[in-house]
Amino acid sequence: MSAEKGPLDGARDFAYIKPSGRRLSEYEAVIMHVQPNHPEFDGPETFVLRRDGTGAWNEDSTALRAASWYDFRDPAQMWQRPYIVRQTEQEKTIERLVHHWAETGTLKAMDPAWAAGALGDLYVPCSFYENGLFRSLIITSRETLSDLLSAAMMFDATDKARHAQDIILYHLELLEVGVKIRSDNGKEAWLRDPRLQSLRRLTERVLACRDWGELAVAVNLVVEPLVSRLIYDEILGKGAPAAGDVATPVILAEAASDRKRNLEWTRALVTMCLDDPDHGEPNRAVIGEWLRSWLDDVRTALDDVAVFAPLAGVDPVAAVSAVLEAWPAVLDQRLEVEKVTA
Amino acid sequence: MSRATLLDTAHDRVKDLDWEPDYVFGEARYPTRYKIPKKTKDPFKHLVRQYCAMEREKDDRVYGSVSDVCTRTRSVSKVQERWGEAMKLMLTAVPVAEYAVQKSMALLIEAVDNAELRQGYLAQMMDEQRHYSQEYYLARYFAKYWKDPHGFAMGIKHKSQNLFFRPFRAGFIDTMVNGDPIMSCLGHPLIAETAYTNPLFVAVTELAAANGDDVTPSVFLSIQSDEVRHMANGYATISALLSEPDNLPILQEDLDDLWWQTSRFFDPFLGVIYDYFPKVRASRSWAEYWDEWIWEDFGGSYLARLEPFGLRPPATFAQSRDNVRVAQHQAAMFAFAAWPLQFFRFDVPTPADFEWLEGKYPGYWDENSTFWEMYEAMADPAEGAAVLGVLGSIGRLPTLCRMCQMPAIFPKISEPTERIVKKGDRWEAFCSIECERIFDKAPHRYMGYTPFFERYDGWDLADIVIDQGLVRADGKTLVGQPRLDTDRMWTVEDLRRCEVTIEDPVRLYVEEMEAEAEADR
Repeated sequence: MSAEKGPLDGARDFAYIKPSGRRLSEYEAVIMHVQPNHPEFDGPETFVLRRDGTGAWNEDSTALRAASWYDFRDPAQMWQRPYIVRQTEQEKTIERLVHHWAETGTLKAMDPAWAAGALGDLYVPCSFYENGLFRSLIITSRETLSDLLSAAMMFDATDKARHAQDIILYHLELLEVGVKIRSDNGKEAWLRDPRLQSLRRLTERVLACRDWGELAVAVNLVVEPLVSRLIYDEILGKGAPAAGDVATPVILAEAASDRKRNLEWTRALVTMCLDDPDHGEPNRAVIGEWLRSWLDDVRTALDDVAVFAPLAGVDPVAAVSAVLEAWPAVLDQRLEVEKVTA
Repeated sequence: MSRATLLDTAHDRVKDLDWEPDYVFGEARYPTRYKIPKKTKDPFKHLVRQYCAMEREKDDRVYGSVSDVCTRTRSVSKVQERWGEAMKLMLTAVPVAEYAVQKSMALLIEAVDNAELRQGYLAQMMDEQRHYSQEYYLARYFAKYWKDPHGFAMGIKHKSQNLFFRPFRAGFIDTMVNGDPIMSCLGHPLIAETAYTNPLFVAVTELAAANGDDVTPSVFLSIQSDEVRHMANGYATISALLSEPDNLPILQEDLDDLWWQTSRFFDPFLGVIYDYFPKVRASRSWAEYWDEWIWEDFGGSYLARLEPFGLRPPATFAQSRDNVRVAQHQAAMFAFAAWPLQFFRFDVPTPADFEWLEGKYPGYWDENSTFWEMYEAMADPAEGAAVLGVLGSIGRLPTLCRMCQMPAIFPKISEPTERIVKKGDRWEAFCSIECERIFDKAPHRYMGYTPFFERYDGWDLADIVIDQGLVRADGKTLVGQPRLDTDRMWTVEDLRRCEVTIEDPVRLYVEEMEAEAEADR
């Protein structure tokens, strides 16, 4: 079917969007410019200001600066429909496999020490860690300076909510099949277990972070590649197979693919900020300072959480070294990570 | 444990995922004056897993029908032209509203320290993302196939600066994203979604289908299936708030103000679409839809259930019911007169339209015929006159309200409740005492912009049209047109020949007043 031609004919697509590629993508078409803060289309005016007299979206909501926040693109081109499809597929996989292993008795056959120590004392309380990341990201998505950034941060947050719930659902399945594991929700451990307090402190700092740029960098470039990687890849992921725990790696693999996607959108944001001809250098200093500041808290959390590593048959020092050594690869070279880690 | 019990238990666990910080404390970004109780109920108990599975099924149906069935059946070619033009207005306004709701949910998630309700708010945030993406998908579909694509392809550019959309920003969008989080909750789930989404997403589909539009109902009805959850979010939040006695007076005040602000824009906006844009008429008028969906369902059922808690219907609820008999007709005259400033085309109402309007609103023709006869005559550029110019030459143009930005033409253009008052060192216009009262509570919040007529004071209308980007790709034909006829369309030069200079009515009022005072001396 083709459109009618005539005196009214004109652009037949959203010509107000400047596509990042040769053609307008569906991702750009269904998200862009719904946030009414574009300098050209919407102007600087706010029709009802906040109580403090500031506008709806404010440049000083982050210390980062950019020529246009509308130049940002999520490399995954994630919008609602593919996101829902992806989440559904991930959850179907987890649900089907966990259910199967519950029915076949595979779950119950796991090493009891692993179930009690690694899953009960570490993984179950991590639902609070994930929930903290979720809350901070979902609230802060309000402040981002373009709709594309808001979408990326909102999907990021929803991932975390799902991860927290996956931990809860898995824990309940384990209890259901009779695995000897703590029966409470892990809150007491989260609040009191000394091994988890620096992780809780770090999560509370994430919750208190008010700069949306800093939050993205802190969560996706520092906390997740270091702390989440230590917990989920180096400890739980490595220890599970030997303990006969077949399900945990499946749940972790799905969460890891989300973390990778979230790492990529944040890297795209950082690259855009560093490439900015006018603001690149100040942005580099700002991000460098954030990395330095967050790394301090992260190091403490890494050292404390690493005490769980022997449950996985892993040396704590080696586990921490592994994540720290892998970390520079996630960062833009211009950030001179060696100065940060020094 | 059954699957259902396991999911129930999981949901209970989600409620207990919050904790009080001991190490690092952040300041509240979105402070509220309400007391938030810890105990509430999320009536839907969705986990992300269940939510996504449900939405995926609905998405498959919607996108499948739009991209496949509607395209193959050449659906767009069957849409009445007048109705199709109205969709440009709808598909520009509604996505931005969905986005504002999404942002206001973030405010609520911070302010409402209750993990149970937070799950409902998260689902709603995802829903809003779904809705505006679907609406843009629909607009893009129309842009591809509709005979006049401009308003679909470019409408979103006009969402802030356009004369008609500035009230939408003021009365709805900015109020919601910048207000008290609980006030946002009142504005969106309670008022906009419970009162207005049924008329918007259900009744519009009735009109759309009658006018040959099979595409819009596919999308809008799917959207409405989510709105039911949002209404429940609003109800759960309000019920929780009412369990704290101190909240009642604040809640009543906010409900009164927000009802006024929201209905001030929505009633004339939807009324013009319902009463002036269907070519094929539905059986009911806007006033009749309003009586059923808003007066009876929202007022009679929904709000009535809150009355035992002490919450009364909004103070101006009955006044709104009176307004929907007349307000949209005043708004229609203003909107049609300002056609050059629009990004869609109007159709000249026909005798059949007037007969229908007279039947639904007795006395209509006697009240309004002078304007419509003038409008029809001036729709042809050969006449060399623009309605807005004629109105401006008879007297000053209606002022635009500093608070809501609606024109001061209500309840009737001939007897407006307009007020022009000195506030500080400036003269400000208000459409009503209600708007002035809301303004007075926090004047600084409404001073972040220059009023439209003040900004363009002294400009030729043709230059405003150019400044607003309302000229087609040929560089001369106007995007907005007063009629659907394409044999002779208005150009910038046609408009310039009409010699319409926009003069700020507030300035004119002050000058008149000073001249009178001078004469008295």
